[in-house]
Amino acid sequence: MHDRRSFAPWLLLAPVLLVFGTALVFALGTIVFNSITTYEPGVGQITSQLTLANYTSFLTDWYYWRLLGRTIWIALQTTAICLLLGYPTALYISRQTGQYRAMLTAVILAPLFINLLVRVLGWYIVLGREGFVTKFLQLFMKSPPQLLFTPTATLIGLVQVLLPLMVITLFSALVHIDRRLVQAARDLGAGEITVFWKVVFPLTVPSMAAGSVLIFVLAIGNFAVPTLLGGQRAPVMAYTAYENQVLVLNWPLGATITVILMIAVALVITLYQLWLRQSRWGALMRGQ
Amino acid sequence: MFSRITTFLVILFLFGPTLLVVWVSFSPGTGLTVSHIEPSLRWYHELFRTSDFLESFWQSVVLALCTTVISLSIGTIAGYALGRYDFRGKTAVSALILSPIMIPGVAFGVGLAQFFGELGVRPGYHTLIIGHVIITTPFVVRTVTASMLTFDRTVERAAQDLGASWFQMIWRVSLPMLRPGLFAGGLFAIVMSFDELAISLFVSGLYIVPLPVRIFTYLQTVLEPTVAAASVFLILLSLLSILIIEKLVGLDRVLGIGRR
Repeated sequence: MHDRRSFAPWLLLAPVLLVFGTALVFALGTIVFNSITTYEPGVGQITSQLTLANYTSFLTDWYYWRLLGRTIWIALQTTAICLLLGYPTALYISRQTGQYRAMLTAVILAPLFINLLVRVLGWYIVLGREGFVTKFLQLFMKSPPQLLFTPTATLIGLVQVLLPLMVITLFSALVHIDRRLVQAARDLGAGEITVFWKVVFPLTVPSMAAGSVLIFVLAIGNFAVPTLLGGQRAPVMAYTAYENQVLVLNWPLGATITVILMIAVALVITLYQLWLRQSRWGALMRGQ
Repeated sequence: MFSRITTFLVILFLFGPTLLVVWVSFSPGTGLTVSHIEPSLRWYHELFRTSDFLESFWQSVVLALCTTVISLSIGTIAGYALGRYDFRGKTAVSALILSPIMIPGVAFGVGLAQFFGELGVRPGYHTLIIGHVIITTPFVVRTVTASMLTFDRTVERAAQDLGASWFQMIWRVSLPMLRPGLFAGGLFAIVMSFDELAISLFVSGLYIVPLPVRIFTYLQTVLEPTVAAASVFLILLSLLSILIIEKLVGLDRVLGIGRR
């Protein structure tokens, strides 16, 4: 119908491309460039000599490997817990009907609209030194372990923040399952448990993968939760990038850390897309 | 049975800590404790005595409105172009526009701060607006392209056949048909801009301090129930926006799930 070489869409896209082309591309370009420069302590200036020193010092320092490992490990745990809690929740909601189901979905989605910092503040109250979990533990042990400013606190916070996204992803897969497939399995004599494991569960694998990739990517890149609940005692990549940018003023190192973080994100997304292309689940997803 | 118990535990887990924030805001003491019996409005007085939070609130409002006006304008026409036309380079363009969803906020924030820093641009509303427009536009584009899927093009054709000019067609036919998408995208942009911390922290200066940045600074320095009192107002604001969205378009539609 339309000429593929028509200039009309480009005219309409021009404002967006102008904004994105300048700010986004230049911002990311700047950190890629700055990551291969060095920092002169005290001056806060970036030298003009290009070098891979930041990357070699990152890759040869055990501290940074632990930082990267901690970031990935927390993100993996977050993803696993979101799957384990999100699946039964999505399943339960998908089996309800009418008003009750609508209410449950609204309740699950509501936290996404509540300010992230308000939700984090809640964990200060629960896990803090004066918090009731600590008070409760004091009944059993003399000096309960510190809960706030640990990787565990970050993990709990990330699960709370990201869980609704996993639930809605799985819910939307579950409600779109063809009822006739379930009916056919029942007619052929399958019990409830068999129907679930042989029909429903396999059909939700692509959404579990999509949801997991989303949660993982958002978890390794999250800044507010690990900074406020983990802080400098349990630093992750995003925190260390902030520390170098704002507190230490070592811009080249901050740039290097964010570049490595982006490479990690890109790697996960690429692997996921390769998997989609290869697996039979991917074929299923494309077929839908 | 098992899935039912999990669901209720999940709901408790999602809301419990937030409800405690409300409780703590009425605390008479200085710590973030829940062990008080007598409620007090001490921290609400404190909140309005120090003008920090109020000032930041209005700055966030200005920021969210400017951001939304810009991202809604450029996002709508872009979403329309992507939904309406088929052209060479379309995949690359939509990948570029949607990329901020996946780029870690801190990476983009650090990038913008260093970019502006090297250009010598001083932080202020303009730097914040640029950052916020880039992270909210993808959602506007997405909601608009989603409503383009159910867009009946024959109506546009009919308008033109009846003698409407291109401008009249867009203004009186196309835009009204996209209204739910525009509305959802706009509300999403306001909420996101109001919530944004990772980018704002790097590109806000000393004079313009959006509310999340203010709360972040407080949480890192003075842990007093003032923050809890401020949070209560934010919770009320969230409830209000949830009600509005649910009444007008539906929460699930804003997030792009269900009711297809």
